[in-house]
Amino acid sequence: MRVVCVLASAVILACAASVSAQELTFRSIIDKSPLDVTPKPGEVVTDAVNAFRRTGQNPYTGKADAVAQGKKLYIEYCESCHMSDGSGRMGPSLIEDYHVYEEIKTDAGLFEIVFGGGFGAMQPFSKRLSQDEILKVMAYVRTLMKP
Amino acid sequence: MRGSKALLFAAAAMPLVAVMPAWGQTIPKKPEEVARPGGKLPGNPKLALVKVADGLNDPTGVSVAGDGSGRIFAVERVGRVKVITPDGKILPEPFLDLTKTNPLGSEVQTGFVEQGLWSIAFHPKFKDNGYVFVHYASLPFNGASIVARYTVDKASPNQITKDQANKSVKVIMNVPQPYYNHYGGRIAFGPDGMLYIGRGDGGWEGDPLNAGQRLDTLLAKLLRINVDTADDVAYAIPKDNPFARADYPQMMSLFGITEEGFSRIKIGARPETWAYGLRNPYMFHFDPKSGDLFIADVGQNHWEEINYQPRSSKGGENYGWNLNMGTKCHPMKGANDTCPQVGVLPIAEYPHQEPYPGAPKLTQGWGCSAQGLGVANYGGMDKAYLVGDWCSGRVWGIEWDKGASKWQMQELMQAPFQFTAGATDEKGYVLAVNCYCFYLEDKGPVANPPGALWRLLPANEVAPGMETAKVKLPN
Ligand code: HEC
Repeated sequence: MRVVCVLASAVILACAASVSAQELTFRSIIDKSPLDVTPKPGEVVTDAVNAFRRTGQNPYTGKADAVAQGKKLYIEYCESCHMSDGSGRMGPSLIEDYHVYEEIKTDAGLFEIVFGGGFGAMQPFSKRLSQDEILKVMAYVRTLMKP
Repeated sequence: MRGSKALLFAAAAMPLVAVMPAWGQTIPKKPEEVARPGGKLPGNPKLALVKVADGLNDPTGVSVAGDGSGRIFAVERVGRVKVITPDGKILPEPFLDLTKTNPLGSEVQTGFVEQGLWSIAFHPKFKDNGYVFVHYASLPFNGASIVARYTVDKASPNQITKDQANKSVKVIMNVPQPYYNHYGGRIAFGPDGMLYIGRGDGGWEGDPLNAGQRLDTLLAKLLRINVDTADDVAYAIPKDNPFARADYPQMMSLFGITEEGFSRIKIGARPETWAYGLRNPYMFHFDPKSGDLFIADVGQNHWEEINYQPRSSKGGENYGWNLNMGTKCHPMKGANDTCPQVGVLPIAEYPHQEPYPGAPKLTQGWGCSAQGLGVANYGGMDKAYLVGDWCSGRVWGIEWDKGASKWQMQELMQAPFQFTAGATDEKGYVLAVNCYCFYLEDKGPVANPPGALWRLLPANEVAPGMETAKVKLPN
């Protein structure tokens, strides 16, 4: 949103609106540059996504339906590298105390790496999933992680 | 072979050591001499990854024609070769489209992520004869690997049309494939004008066919053939191939022959063999300057290895697979395995996250699959082999350190994607491609997010307006 705002800075009102909505800026875990969260063509920005952008809290955490959908996505997109229980193989374990990125303890940080990618095989899943799907997969990942 | 010869030579030449040039690369004879991550290249190069073009479907290879046109040819796994113009534009019509040449469907088998079209090589006299060679997994031949030649029509330099393809095609080699992985892939002409073919061990894991140590199969080899033959002769065996006469019809003599002479008789040995004991030499590159050869041999569960041959090599090197991987034993059972060291050692090796079964996971300096990118002679590098990793996105430089008289291996950067292949461009810069095509997440050769083509430039040559990858530079 912020990017759109800068590009369209002539439209001052739109900018103001976006700022007053208090959307958080999400940043690449690699170099802290802002991530472009403009929806892909045809992507629906759900209430959950809107809420997440304002609060940085994943509204799907602990919601059984979303977790179940997130599990399906995890099996399809994450399990190959992080294993079904999250213990890791090609990608690091998601369930140990040790993290490559301490940021993933927060929902915003977890979103930043899944959406924006890390190094090597940890690609930006913005290329494969909608932001709503990413929130769901995050909700499932939280169920694997140690409390 | 090379190992024992080199040893003999070293022993005989002992008193001469002082007059031998100190800068000469040697091939390690002891595991301690093999470079591992943590070293420093003499010129401490600082590199950046500059984007050349984006929007390639699962790029698996890259090449240049060497005709001065400045074009870059990106190989797409599905079976297409795309032309990238010097200003970074991808031409919409493929240079070659093997998905269209066969009226019954694609010519290329892409069912598994290691299958597809891997490589295109331009004949050293391409400018005159228009010959290009490709290497791919064939659908009609049930996954066999095929090397075929096509001829570019001078009137259509950027596109070999379907008609032209079918009119000009010449099959050079068809090697049946037992399993769906470990094909190898790259083909390239050496400084000697011969075509070299990286051919994997045929797959599964552990080399169940023992292809690595067997000489009677084309699998698990670097092959070397002469393609300058009449059109009705597929290829010829270069007379100086190490096993060219190992299984040659001859009279049997039992007397007056040395034991060394007998040992050269190897019944069933394939004369196309240049080097053996390789697991999956997907990428190998000649140094454009010296003609020396580097091979990135993809390892199994724990280690990746990089091999080196000076241009003066006579071939016949055994790189040890499936008895060794790198300096390690295969199968690997623990941290302190012991086993005989077979053949020639690599110059460098690097570990996976688990360097041995059950090892604590490494958090730094690891990879999973070595994809050689090319030999660099710029930016402080002098015959440095650049290797990109398919999992960790790390780029390693491997270079001979004259001062320390040993090979060095240094992590030069970590990229936010997986490398598949590379080559040097016409100016000598190393090009690389990346692909979003890791095994289980693979959605088919045209359904993954597109990959891109990059150039490894010295950081101080990055000009304003160039798009660079977000990389992590070592401290
Ligand atoms: C192709 C392999 C691969 C796939 C598929 C993959 N990852 Fe990763 N993942 C990695 C690698 C490698 C890293 C380490 C990246 C780094 O060091 O920057 C990583 C890192 C992470 C981290 C950070 C871990 C830490 O310790 O800080 C999280 C969280 C994560 N992945 C979640 C996911 C989720 C969720 C998915 C599916 C949507 C996924 N990954 C799919 C390979 C993969």
